[in-house]
Amino acid sequence: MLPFSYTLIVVLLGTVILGGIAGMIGTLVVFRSQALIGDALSHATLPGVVIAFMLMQARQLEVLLVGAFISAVIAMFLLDVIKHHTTIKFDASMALILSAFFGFGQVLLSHIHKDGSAAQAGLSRFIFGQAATLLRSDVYLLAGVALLLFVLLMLFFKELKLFIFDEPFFVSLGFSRRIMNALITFMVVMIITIGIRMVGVILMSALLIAPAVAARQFSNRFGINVFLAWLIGGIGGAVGTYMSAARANMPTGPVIVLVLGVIVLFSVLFSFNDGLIKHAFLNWRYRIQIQKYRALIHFYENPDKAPMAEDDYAYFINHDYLRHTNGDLNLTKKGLKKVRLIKGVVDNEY
Amino acid sequence: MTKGFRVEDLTVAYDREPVLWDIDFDVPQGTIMGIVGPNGAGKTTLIKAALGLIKPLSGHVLFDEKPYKKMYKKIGYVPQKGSVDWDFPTTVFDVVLMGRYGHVGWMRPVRNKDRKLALEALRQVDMLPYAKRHISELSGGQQQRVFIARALVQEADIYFMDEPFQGVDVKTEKAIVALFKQLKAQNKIVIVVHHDLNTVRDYFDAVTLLNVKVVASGPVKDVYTKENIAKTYRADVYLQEESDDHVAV
Repeated sequence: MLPFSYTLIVVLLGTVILGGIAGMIGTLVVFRSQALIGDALSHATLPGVVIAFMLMQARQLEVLLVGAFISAVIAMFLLDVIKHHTTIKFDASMALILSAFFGFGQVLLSHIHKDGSAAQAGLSRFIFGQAATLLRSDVYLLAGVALLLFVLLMLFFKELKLFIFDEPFFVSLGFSRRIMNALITFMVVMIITIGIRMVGVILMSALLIAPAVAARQFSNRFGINVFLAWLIGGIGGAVGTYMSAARANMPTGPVIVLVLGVIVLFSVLFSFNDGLIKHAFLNWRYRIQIQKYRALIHFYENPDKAPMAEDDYAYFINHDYLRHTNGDLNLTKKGLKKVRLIKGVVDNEY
Repeated sequence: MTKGFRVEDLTVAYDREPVLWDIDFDVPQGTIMGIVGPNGAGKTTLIKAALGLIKPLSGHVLFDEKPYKKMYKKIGYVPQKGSVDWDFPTTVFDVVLMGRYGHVGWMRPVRNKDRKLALEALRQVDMLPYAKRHISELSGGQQQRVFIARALVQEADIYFMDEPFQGVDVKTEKAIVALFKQLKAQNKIVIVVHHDLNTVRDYFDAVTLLNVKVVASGPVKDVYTKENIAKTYRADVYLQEESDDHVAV
């Protein structure tokens, strides 16, 4: 058992808050089928961080994050321009923006490195993140942003739900498409900006996407999905942080992402809706039932001309599925129930 | 002031390609109007322009002589059911409740009165037992009835429906036609994008024949003629009720 040191508690607080709120915001992009936007925008923050450092010659987190925010907003703007004014497909434009901005960020980083600037090491932590060096002041900043995003999400909850489900209908009710687009972009860029310090620009999108995907397996209601994504994101943050702290030199961000990946895997397997395990089990049970009771179903459908194997006949008589009454062979209540149960499944499937 | 719906000089283009050209027509209160025309005639575009979803190049659309922005609480909309993702996590009841959001307004929670209206609308389209179901568990006809219930709770004076009969069962079709009659009795306007030429006479009392331009618009008995249909489709059209009689240009 790892002792809860002061540093560990600070980092735990940070990752739990981040994981939870990122999971909530993530449901918005995942249900809009725009999960990749999160990835493109988080990569696009890198040049902003470096340029902010070069211009301001400052290492304060706030300054660097303002740069990241501006950079991601520019990327979003470019994505919008490409979408509306060219024939380039949206997925292609996202890949373009992602790699172009990230490449530019890398070039700027190596430029600083050649300069011999002492802060270079501090900046490259934005690529993979560095949760272990989180400060108390960083957690305050994070908590403030998380609170703001949570309040926005609650205030605009019903608008967000309808906008994502049916945008034309939403607009036909007199609501503004522009306000909603701006709101969602603001929330996504904010959460990315605040998250890259801890998990890095490469893995940040996993914090948005994984909790939403896992949550979707357990509920068909939007509100519950948002809540579950918050819970799963928070748990992923806590477990990942604790595991990385338990072994020296384990990077926190990647371990959190790994934990979230395992949660997604298990939720897809054990989904309440149509999980792989549930699906496989139902199919297996159906096959067994058909093999065992095929002759009984056949008898139910054609009672007059139903030649039956000796084994089957003996089994059905012994288990009271069939009975001789007044010299005729008939299905018992139990037998009838069994056949209808199996056939009911057939009826449902076709 | 004349009550009703009016389109004046409406022109809409996508990238310099006119989709609607100089459209004029009006619809008096208590009218069920079908919009009929071939694929690419601009039927859906016409509805979207009326609802402010698309900005026209010129012209305007008036509801009781007022623009859409001042009247949106009086207008109901049934989009094509293929326009949404039916895997979205929400229940039948929730979708119907969305029809009340316009009346509720920005950032306010829905009220009990809205929930009552949603349940009542579900009962009206015979979908009350499905209220708590996830929307992906519905058949095509049931999905359409949910969309119609959502429009009903808008308590509108004018309804726009985009292909409500597309891929629905007989029960749903009958329910929609019954609803038309009921809305007509309440002196409301229903404007319906429609595909099947054979049912126009049964469903509607007015029709607009559209192919980028308006070919004809008015009561079905006056304007739904062989000549006008042929002009609209610019080709042979086969009508069941005139089985031995091809309509030719």
